[in-house]
Amino acid sequence: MKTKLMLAAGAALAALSLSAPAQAETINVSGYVNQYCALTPGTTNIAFGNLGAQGVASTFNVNYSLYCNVGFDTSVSSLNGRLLNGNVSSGNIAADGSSATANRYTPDTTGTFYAALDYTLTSGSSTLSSADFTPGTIAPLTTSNAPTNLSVPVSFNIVPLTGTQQLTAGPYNDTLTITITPTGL
Amino acid sequence: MGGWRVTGGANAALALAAAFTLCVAPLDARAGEGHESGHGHGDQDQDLVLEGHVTPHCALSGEGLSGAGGTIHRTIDLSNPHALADVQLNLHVACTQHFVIGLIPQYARMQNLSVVNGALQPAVVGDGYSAPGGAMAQGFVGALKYRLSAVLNGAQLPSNASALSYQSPGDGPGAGIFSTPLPPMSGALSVTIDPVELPAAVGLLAGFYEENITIQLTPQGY
Repeated sequence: MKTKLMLAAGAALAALSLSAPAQAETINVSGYVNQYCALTPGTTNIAFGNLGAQGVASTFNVNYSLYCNVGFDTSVSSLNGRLLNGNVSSGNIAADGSSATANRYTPDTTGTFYAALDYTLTSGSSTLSSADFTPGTIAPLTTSNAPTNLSVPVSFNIVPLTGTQQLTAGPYNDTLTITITPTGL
Repeated sequence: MGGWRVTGGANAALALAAAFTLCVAPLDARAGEGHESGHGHGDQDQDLVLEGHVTPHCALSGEGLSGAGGTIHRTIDLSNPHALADVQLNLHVACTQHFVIGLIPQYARMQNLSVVNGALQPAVVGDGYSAPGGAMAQGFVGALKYRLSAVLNGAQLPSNASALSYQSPGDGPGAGIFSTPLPPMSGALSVTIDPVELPAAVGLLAGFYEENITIQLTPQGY
């Protein structure tokens, strides 16, 4: 018996010449950075010293270290809305009609004495006055800020009384809260 | 005269010999049957045709890949961008033909996807950020560069910049690493993603960072 074994190499190679499809896999690398904002003032106590009879027109500058890795707004709220004489009860203070804030000492019927003193707050190109941050309100200071890691100067400016107006004796104070609100990117 | 056509197949080149071997035994048996039952007298010529083929095949496996267009997910701790860990992947490449391997980044950096489109300005200061219409944010970046390197069968794959490492975004999205045509092989592929730490004065913007790197095996025939 003669048997021919024909190994069909040609056919096999023909099959091998087919091209394989391209293969693609993906490496996905990811990470997350949490939002973080911090405002650190150079000092938390601003002392204007002796205010004099009408309040000395003075400026107190404070540098704040501001860090925020996301866009943000800043706003201000105030306990008293102005520098308020701590020795005077709230029932003895009223507006004098010329100011949005209630500063006049009402037991004095002559209209001479005042028990509160307005001030302004300036950050960059934004300035707020006592009328803006009256107690119970939140006043926008700056909006749509880009992420920042800078020292930001903030100025506090006394607004002196005018004319015959005089300050009653006592300690004047206010507590101001500056809030940073992240807004996104 | 009779003929039998016996075929066999395998899905990998390395299995080719085994495929033929497996075919021989039943072939002999069937030839014997033909001799005894079909033709009892005289010489006979019997053509036995043995065929086999290997389906062309390229596959990437390891790190959980199934070889069907999968994705490997890795998370990098970005809480301290001044000290970042590498991502190391140990993969395996098997290709029955000549092939080219490519590693193709989508963004060419780990990009903050929380940033409004267009706010990142790589052409200005690397990966700096500015709010639309605004000034550049100081002290922050919205993307993280990385170095990408790949070693196949002990040989470093070249980057487009002819350097051992690939640094984004200078090489640009879609550039990546491509090999020259390689012979059929079954070998280890090591991929390293080395995030570039930020200078001390620079931080990362808040948000979700992502990069996708496609590993592509493209058969080149024989």
